[in-house]
Amino acid sequence: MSASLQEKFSVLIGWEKLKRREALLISALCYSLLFSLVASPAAALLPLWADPSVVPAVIFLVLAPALFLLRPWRTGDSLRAVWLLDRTLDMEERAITAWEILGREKKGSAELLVLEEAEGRLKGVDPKAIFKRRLTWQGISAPLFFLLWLLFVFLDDGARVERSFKASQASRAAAQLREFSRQLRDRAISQGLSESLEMARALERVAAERLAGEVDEKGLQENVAGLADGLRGKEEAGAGPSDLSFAMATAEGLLDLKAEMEALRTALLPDSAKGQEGSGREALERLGNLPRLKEEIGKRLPSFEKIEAKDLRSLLDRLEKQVAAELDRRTLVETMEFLDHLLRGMEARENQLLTGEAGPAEPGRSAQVEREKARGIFPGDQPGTKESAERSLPPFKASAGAHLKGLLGEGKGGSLSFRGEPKGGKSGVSQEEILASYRRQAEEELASERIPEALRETVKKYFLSLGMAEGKK
Amino acid sequence: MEAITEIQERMARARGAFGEVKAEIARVIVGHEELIDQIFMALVCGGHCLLEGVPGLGKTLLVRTLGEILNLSFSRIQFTPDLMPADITGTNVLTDDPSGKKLFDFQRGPVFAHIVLADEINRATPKTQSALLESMQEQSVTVGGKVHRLPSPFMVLATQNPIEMEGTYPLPEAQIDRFFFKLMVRYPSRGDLGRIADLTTASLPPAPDKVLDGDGVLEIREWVRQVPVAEAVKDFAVRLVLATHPQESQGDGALPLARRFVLYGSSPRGLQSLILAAKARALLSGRPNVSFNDIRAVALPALRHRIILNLEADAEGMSVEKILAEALERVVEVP
Repeated sequence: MSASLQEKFSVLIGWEKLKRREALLISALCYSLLFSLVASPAAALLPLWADPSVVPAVIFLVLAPALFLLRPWRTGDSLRAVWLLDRTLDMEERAITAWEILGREKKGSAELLVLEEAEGRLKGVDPKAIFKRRLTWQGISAPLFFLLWLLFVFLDDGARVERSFKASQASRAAAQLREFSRQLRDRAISQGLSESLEMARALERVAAERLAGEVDEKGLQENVAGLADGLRGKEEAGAGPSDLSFAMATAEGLLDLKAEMEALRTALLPDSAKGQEGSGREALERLGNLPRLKEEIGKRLPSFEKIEAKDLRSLLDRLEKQVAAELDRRTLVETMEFLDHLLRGMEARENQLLTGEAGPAEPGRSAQVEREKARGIFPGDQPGTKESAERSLPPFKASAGAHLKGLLGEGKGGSLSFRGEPKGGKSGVSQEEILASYRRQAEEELASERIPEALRETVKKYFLSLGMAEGKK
Repeated sequence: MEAITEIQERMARARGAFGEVKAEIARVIVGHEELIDQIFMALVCGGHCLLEGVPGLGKTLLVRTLGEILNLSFSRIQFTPDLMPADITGTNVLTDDPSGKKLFDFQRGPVFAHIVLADEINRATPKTQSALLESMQEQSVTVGGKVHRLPSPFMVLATQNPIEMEGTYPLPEAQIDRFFFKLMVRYPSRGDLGRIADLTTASLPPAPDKVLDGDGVLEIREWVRQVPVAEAVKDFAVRLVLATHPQESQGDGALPLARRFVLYGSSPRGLQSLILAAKARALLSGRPNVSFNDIRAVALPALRHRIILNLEADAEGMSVEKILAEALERVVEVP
């Protein structure tokens, strides 16, 4: 008897507990959505990385446990549930009395009678059917609030994407500027361009300010425009290359000239065995193998055969300064062109956002379009063009020997071929730096004893012929 | 341990006896159904009642009839200002024994009856009142150092005349608190008056049958105490008693009327009366346990004489009934 009655009460109390839990969860959901709706105007204050669509979930995760803690199921709640059963079935407190008696160890006959009568009254009674779930105002409001919230998120999402796009666009310009400044710095260091190095530092500073958020997009634009104007003014004041003979020379030619000057300077180094006079003669002999330098020296000093070493040295100093100044000038011109291009891009983006045309498309796609439109500034900056026909790759010959025909004759050569698709885009290392490095290595190899004495001139001529071929181009 | 069926039988017997008593009384007394119920409840709870009503409402007839039906001895004491305690309790009287020796013989007073009607108790002096009250409390009389037990069951029904209060000695509150119930004897309704006229001015009604005796009453008294009461119901009674107090520290907080008009709230005796009376009501109704409605039904008679009002209540015309009505309305069954 007691077991069935106990089970009946257990079913009742378990059912009420379940309804309470459901009610608390629905309340938490309702209040989370309501708060999110009320606080939705403040979503603009959230940082970009914070997604306002998760605000209701966050509030729910905080509110639900709090509600469960504030309203735990207590003995009084069980009593109330049983009391409600009494009232509903008009049992005149038989249920409550029986529920308490079940918890007593000793039960007299009078208590047993109460249990019996209570069990009789509760036979066939299903508490779930009597105490059905009731729809509270929270349960009715929650779906409405959810729909409203969805609408708000939908409307607000466009604004957030726009703001995000604007921010990403602004930071992209600064990132481009920073990348350019780094390349410029590396180039200036490798070529010894002092003014370019100074400009590179200035550009890096401007980019860093924008990326750190110290200035806004407008501020970046003004800074870039100021630097570009400064460079333009300098260019106009300078009015052309410092030496007209450099006007037609390409950058590579100037670098070759610089390398030849370094080579000649090496030859001018005083030798303890030969003395000052001997190095001058050697330098002149070497000059024969430095065509560009020989040409330039010939322009300035028609009869240079009898020049002394110290005069040659001072001439080289002057030439070096001129070459460096020309390279510096050209680099600054290129910098100015880059800054102008960057400014045009920033203005175009700003106009696009203001007029609202084409809208902020996916940032990645927009960047791709820009890359396709932008001209490469440095060698290797040219984006790779997609060829219509697939390029046939050379057959893979790993370490296979190949028969080559060179200047001296024919012979075996070794090569390693790698299969791969070239990808367009900016190279990480500047071409000038590579060439300069190669030239230095070649000079060092020539100076070393690994190459036989008889073949040194031949090897030197070979490398120099490479530069002549490019100069002709 | 008794079987459940035995419990059910005795419940049925108690209810049956109660029904028969009521039916027999109804043959003699017109109306007063509630009063009869409450007096019987007080009897089976071992309590005494204080009846308040104007003269001529049938109080004496009721009590006498009850005594006859229950086959219990009945006595009526008319309290007057010159009544002495010995007039109630009895006294030692010098008599001669058969051998002619003088000895003191205790002559029992009218209090030595099962049911005593103390008419207009407020007319006697406090000393005389206390003699009766002492016997109510102790169920014995001490005279000349000797204790004389009163018969069992023993019940006193004292009356107070609400009019003609001049020259009376109102019972002190502490003494009133000893009464189980304070019952108001209402003026009969129009229909009842007509029936009273028919019943009393025609041929004399037959004598009521004896349906129960003293042992039966004592048995029912024992059964009453065995009726289970749930903690929640008991807690409700406790909160009800505490709600009659003006202090906020008592119970769930003082009610507005109690805070304003009550000087002292009910004593713990009020709680005892409340629960015992509720048990009696449950038993006589054929239910195995006490319900909230039982508590509500007996709250007024059990508590109305235990609440002392202040002067503001007198000035405002506030009654104890209104204060108890507020308590019954605002104290929830299950908090």
